[in-house]
Amino acid sequence: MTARFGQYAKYLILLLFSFLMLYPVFLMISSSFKSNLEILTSPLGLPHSFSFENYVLVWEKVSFGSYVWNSVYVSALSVFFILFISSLAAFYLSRFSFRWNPFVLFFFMIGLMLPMKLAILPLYMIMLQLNLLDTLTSLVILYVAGGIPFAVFVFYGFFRTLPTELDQSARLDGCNSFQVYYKIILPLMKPALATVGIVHLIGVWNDFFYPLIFLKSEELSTIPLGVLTLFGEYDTEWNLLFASLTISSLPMIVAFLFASKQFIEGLTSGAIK
Amino acid sequence: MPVLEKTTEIQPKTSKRKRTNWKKHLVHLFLLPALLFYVWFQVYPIFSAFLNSFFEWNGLRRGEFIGLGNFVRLFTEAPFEETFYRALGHNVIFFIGTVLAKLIVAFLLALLINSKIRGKEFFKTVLFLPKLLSVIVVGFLFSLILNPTYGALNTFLRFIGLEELARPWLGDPNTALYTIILVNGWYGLGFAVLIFLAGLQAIPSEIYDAAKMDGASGFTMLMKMTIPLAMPSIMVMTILTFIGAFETFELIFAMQGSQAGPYFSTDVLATFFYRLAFGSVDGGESIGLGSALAVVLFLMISSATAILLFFFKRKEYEQ
Amino acid sequence: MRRVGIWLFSAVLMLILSACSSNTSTSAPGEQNAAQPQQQPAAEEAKKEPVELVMYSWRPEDKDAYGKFITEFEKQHEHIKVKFRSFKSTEYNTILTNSLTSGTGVDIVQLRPYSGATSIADAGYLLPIDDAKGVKDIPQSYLDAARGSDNKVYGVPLSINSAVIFYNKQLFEENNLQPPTTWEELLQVSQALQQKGIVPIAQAGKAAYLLSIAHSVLGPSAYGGEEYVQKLISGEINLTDAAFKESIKRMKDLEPYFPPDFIAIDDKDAQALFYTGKAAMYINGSYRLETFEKQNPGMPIDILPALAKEKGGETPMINWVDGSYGIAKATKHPEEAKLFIEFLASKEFGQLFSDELNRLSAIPGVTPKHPLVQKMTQLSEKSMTSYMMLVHFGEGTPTTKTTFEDSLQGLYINKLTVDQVAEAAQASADKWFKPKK
Repeated sequence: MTARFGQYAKYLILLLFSFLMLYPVFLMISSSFKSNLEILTSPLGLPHSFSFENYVLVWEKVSFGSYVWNSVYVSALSVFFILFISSLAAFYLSRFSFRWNPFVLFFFMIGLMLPMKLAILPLYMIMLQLNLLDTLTSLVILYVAGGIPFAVFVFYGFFRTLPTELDQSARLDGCNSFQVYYKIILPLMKPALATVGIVHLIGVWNDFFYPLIFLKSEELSTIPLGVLTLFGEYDTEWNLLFASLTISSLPMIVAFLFASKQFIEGLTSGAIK
Repeated sequence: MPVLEKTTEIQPKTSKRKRTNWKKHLVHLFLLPALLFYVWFQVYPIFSAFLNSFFEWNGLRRGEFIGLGNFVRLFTEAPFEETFYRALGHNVIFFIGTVLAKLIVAFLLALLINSKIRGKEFFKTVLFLPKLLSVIVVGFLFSLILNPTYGALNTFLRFIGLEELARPWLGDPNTALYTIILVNGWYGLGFAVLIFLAGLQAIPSEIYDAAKMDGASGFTMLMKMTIPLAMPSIMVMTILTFIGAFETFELIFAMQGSQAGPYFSTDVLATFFYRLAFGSVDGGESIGLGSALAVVLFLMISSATAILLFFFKRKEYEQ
Repeated sequence: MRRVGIWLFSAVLMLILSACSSNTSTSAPGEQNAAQPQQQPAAEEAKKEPVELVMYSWRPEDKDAYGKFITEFEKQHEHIKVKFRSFKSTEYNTILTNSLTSGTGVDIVQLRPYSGATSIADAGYLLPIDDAKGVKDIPQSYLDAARGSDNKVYGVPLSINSAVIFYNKQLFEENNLQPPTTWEELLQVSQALQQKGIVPIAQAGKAAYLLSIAHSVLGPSAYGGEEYVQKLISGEINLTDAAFKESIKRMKDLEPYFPPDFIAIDDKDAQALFYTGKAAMYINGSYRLETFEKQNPGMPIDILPALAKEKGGETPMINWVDGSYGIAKATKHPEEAKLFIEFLASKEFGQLFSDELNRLSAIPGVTPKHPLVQKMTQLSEKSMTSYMMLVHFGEGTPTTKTTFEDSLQGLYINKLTVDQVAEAAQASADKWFKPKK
C-alpha cells in the first residue's frame, strides 16, 4: 500500500515539475496568438482564436525576417568552421605523434575554462583594429575561436576510439593525410560531428552577449538582439513581444522534438566526460 | 597505447624525406587554423585584459602604466568599493541560492527518474526543454510573466484568491534577486537533472542488491552509497554552478537592465563590469577599472574552481 | 597534400579577407575624393566630383524626418550626398568613440550635450566651427552645450528639450482643480485627485534617470531657479546645502501620489497610465508630446513649467540642449561638411526641424507650429534654468548625475536617507567638479 502510494507521489512530483517547466513556454506560444487586450485581460489560458496577425506584424514592423537571416547566416558559418577546423586539429593531435602534441592538447583544454566575457574589452579592441566592429564576420570569428576547445576535446576523444587500421590500409593504397581525413575519418565521425554541431548551434543561435557588444546597426541584428530592440521600442505591445520570443525559440524547440536524444547527448557530453 | 601505431604511420613519409621535405611540413596545416583562431581570439585577449588593467585609460586610448593603481581604486575608492562588495555578496547569494533551488531539487528529481517508473524519456525531454531557449528570451519572457500589473503570475495569484501574495517580484528589492535565482533555476534544472542522471546510471545496480540483502534502509543507501558514488557528477554540477553564478549577466541584464535595479539590489560583478567597461547613456565608463575588475573576477573564478576540484578529488580518494 | 594546403589557406583567408575588404572599400573612394579639390581648386561647385558625407545620430525614430531635411540640402548642393546612419541611443557613445578613434566612417557627428561634447572636442576629434555661417547668431548659453575647454564652438545645437509636467486638462476641469504652481498647490491637487481614485502623478522609477528629470522640475520649489544653480556651480554652496536636501525630501514626500510600486514600473507603463486617463500628471521631457499625440490623438494635454518657490514666484522652464552636430576632424571633405553644418545652423532648417518633429529648435527666429511648443518657447523667454544634473554634473565614473538618480532610487526603497542621497552626489562631484567662477 505504502509502496503504491510512493509510486503515485513520484509521478505527482514529476508531473508537477513537468508542468512548471512547460507552462511558461506554453504561455509564450499561446500568448503570441492573442491580441494585446486578450493578453492583458486573460493571460493564462488558450487564445480565443488562432490568428497569425502578430507574426505578420512583427515581420513587417521590425524586419524580423532579416534578424532571422542574420542568425541563420552566423550560426551556419560558425558551426561549419568550428567542425571543420577543430576536426582537422583533432586529427592532427590524435594521428600524429609530434612531441608537442600533449602540450597543444592541454593548451586547448585550458580554453574550456576561460571566461571569455571578461576578455570582452580586448576582443572589442581587436575587432576595432581589424575594422570588423559592427559586422557579422566578427561574430563568426569569435564563435569559431570560442568553439574550438570543446570541439577539439570531443573529436580527440572520438578519434582515440577509432581503430587506426583503416587509416593505415588507406595509406598503403596511396592516400595522403588529407585524403585519409576526408575519405576515411570524416564519414566515420558523423555522430561526433552531430554532437558538437548541436551544442554550438544552440550556443550561437541563442547567444546574446557578443551581438550586444559587437553589433551596432539595427539591420545586422541577430534574433536575440532584435528581441532586445523590440522590447525597447514596443514594450506596451505584448502580442508582438510574445510573437518575437516565440519566433526566436521555435526553431530550436522543433529541432529538439525531432532529435531530442542527440540534443541531450550533445549538451551533456561535455560535462560528463 | 597508440604510440607504437602512430610511429608506424609516419614511416612512409620519412622514407621519402629527401624528395618531399617541404611537403612534410604541410601536415602542420591541420593544426594551424585552430591554433591561430584560438590564440588570436581567446588566449591573447585574456592576456591583454591582464595587461590593460595596469594602465591608465582615456576612452579607448591607453595612457600611462600605473601598476596596481586601478586595483587600488577599485578596492578603496567610493563608490566602487561599496559596489564591488555588494555585487560580490549577490554573486555568493546567487551561488548558494542556485545550489539550494536548482541542484538539490535536480538531484531529487534525478533519483525519481532513475527509479522504476515509466515515461523516463518524456520527463527527461520536458525538463530539459527550457535549456533550448536563449537566456535573453527567458529573461524577457519572465519579465512579462512577472509584470506587477498585467503579468500572468500576479493575475493567477489574484484569481485563486491569494491576492496578498501578489507583488512586484522584480521591483521589490527584497524579492528581486531571489526571483531571478528561481528563474535561473527554471532554465537550468533539466540540464542538472540529466547530468545527475548520467552519474546515477553509472552506478551498477548489483551494489544496491547487495546492500538490500544486508538490510540497509533506503536513506542509508542514499547517504552511504548513492551520493558518494555519484560524486563526480555532483562535482561537475557544483563547479559549473559556481562558474555560472559568478559569470551571470544575461538574465539580470534582460530583466533589470545594466543598472541592475532597483538600487543595485540585483547587481552582480558582471553587471558592474559591464557598466565600468561600457558606461551608461550618460557616459562614465573606465576601461582601466573595468579591466581590473575582469582580472579580479577571472582570478576568483579560476582559483575557486581549482580549490573545488582539489576538494572533490581528495574526497574521491578518501572513499 | 598540396590540395589540403590550398583549401585550408583559402578557408582561413576567406574569413580574414572578407574582413579586410570592407576596410579597403570604405577608405579608398574617400582618398580619391580628398585628392580631387587639389587637382581642380577653381572648379565650380556643380562640376565637382560627387561627395558623400556620412552622419551619425542616436535618433533612429527621426529617420524619416532626416530624409526630408537631407533632400532639401541635396537640392541646394547637388554634388553632395548625405547618408544618415542612426544607432540605438544606448549604444551610440561607444560607436561614436570607435569611429572617431579609428578615424573612419563618419563626417558629421551628433554630439551629446555639455560634458559629452567637451570631452570629445578636447580629445581632438572635432573641427571648430565658430566661423561657420549662422553659428554666431545662436544664443551663447545654447552653444555652451558644444564647447571645448578652449572655449571654441564644436557643434551646432539642434534642439532644446524642456522638462515639464504634462497634465490632463479634462481631468483637472472635471474635478475643479487649478494646475499647481507651487509645492503646496501640488500637494493639494494630488490629494484631491487621489480621493477621486485618480493616480495623481504617473511616475515610473525602474529607470533611475526618470527620477532626476522629475527632480529637476519639482526641485526648484525648494531652491528656486537659475540663481541657485549659479551658486552651486560657482562653488559657493554644494549639493549638501539645506535647500537642495529639502528638494530631495520633497521627492520622497510625493511618493504616496505616485502609482503603487512605482519603483517597479517602466516608463511605458507610466505613459500608458497618463494617456489612458488613469493618471492626471506625468513628468518628463517635452519630447514625450509626440508619443502622447500618437497614442491618444484627441487627448487634452497641457504643460506646466517647474514649480515656483513661493506663490507668484518664478516658474522657470527647465531647458537643456539635446544634442548638436559637429564635424569629425578626420573627415575627407571638410568643406562639404561645413556646408552641411551651415545648413543645420540656418533658420530654414530650424523651421523644418521644428515643424517636422514638434521640437524646439535652438536656432533663433524659428516659430514653432505646434501651440504647446509655442507655449514652451514663450515660457522659456520668461524664465528658464538648466537641467542642472545633466548640464553641470555629467562627469565622473560613474557620473554624478547617475549617482544622484541611483541614490534617489535607494531613497525610495528605504536604503538611503535624504542626507545620504545628498552626500553620495556630493562625494561623486568632489572627485572631478571644479567651481566655475
